[in-house]
Amino acid sequence: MNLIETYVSEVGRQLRQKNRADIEAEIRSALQDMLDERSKQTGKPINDELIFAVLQEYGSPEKIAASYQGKRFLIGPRLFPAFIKVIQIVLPIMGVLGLIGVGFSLGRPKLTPGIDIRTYVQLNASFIINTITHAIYGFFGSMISALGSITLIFALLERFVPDLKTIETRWDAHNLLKVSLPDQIKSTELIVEIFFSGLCILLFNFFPQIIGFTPSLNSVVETGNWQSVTFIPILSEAFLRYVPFVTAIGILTIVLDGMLIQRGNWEVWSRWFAVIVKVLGISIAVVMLNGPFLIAVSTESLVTAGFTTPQAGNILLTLMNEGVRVVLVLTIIFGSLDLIKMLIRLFRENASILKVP
Amino acid sequence: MTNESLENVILELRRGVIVLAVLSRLGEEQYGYSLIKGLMKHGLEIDQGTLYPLLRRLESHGLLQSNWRIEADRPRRYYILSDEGRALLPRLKEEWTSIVFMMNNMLNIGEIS
Repeated sequence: MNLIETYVSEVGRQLRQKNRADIEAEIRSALQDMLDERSKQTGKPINDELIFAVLQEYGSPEKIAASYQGKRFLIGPRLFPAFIKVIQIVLPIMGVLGLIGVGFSLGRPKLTPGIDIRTYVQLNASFIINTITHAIYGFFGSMISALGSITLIFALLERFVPDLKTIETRWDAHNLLKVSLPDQIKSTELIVEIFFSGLCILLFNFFPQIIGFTPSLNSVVETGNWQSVTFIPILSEAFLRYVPFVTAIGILTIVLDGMLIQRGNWEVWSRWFAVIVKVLGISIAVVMLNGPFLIAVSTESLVTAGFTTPQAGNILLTLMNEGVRVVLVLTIIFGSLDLIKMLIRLFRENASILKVP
Repeated sequence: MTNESLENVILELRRGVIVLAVLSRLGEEQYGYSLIKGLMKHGLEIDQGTLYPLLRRLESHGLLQSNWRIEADRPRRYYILSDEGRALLPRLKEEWTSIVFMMNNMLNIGEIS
């Protein structure tokens, strides 16, 4: 029966929200009638082979969805999923590129390692405001331009590309096996997430001192003198203050993933649980981004540990601190996009509760 | 004319009669699949992808009404003519008779000439 649900869901996602649940229920009921009759005719039980045959006969999800959409659209149901997919790929990439651009522009004044954010902002206030204002204008301008171009291209495709025949000839019901249902969990991903969450909790709480690096390793390899290996822990006191919060988020993640594996499917409560974990994660990333540096390495310790010059140590330190900031910014951006997707899905699910007895 | 073109023309011809055929069968309540079987018994084959959207359109035009019912642990949607549909059906039948008459005349004249 899972194949039927996959098929119905494939049709449903190409339909308008307004009638989706009702049409899905009707298709489900019609397919069940067909299956019952075929099973009676052949004297065989309903199995995957029979379901494939019935779905093949019923028609491709694109064709069925299109048959319910009688009106002409600027971008019809045939191309709409592809249009949304392109938008989902292009706009976030442009957003990230825009933010990276702003980051580079803001970093143009000479960054002194060790300087705190407040001093930097005080020194470059008007420059920062100008850069951000220009970036916002540019960002919205390019977003609207990209959206317009994509819409135009798809509208032209809709108008001039031949009818659905090409899609119909490619339709093979067996392809449904490759489609995963929106509520289906991906166990491997969850197990990997549990493993890494556990690892982070263990490292940050019990062995934070082993997170670091050995800048002198090259010279050790060259000289063969392993006694001179110097290890520099990198986590600052500021980071260690965040560890209880990071641990709490890690534990919540493990609990959620464990329950998902046990239940086998996403449900409304688990989606809200995931939203809460995501919000906490983004919040802690925002706090870290605006707080003191998370890297505790000093130029002096790098020189002592074997770096050739203080300048080289300075560059490495700047790179490390900026690298951490970039990671935090990316975490916030992608986390927020993920959060928006999760909320949209939740509200859609609420709106599409089936109105049948 | 190729076979494919011929099939397309026949399909178009049949499509024209589907609305009347469906309305004529819905004096009594029926669900989609039973309607398909009933039409098939009379020689009119119609696929589900055509029928269900058509039923919805006719319902949205006020000619049909529908309700969901649970039968054998499964929801089924039953359709029946609305009052408006019942009032309209005789007029559509008249229209159909006149079309058939007109077409018969036209085709006979075409054959003679």
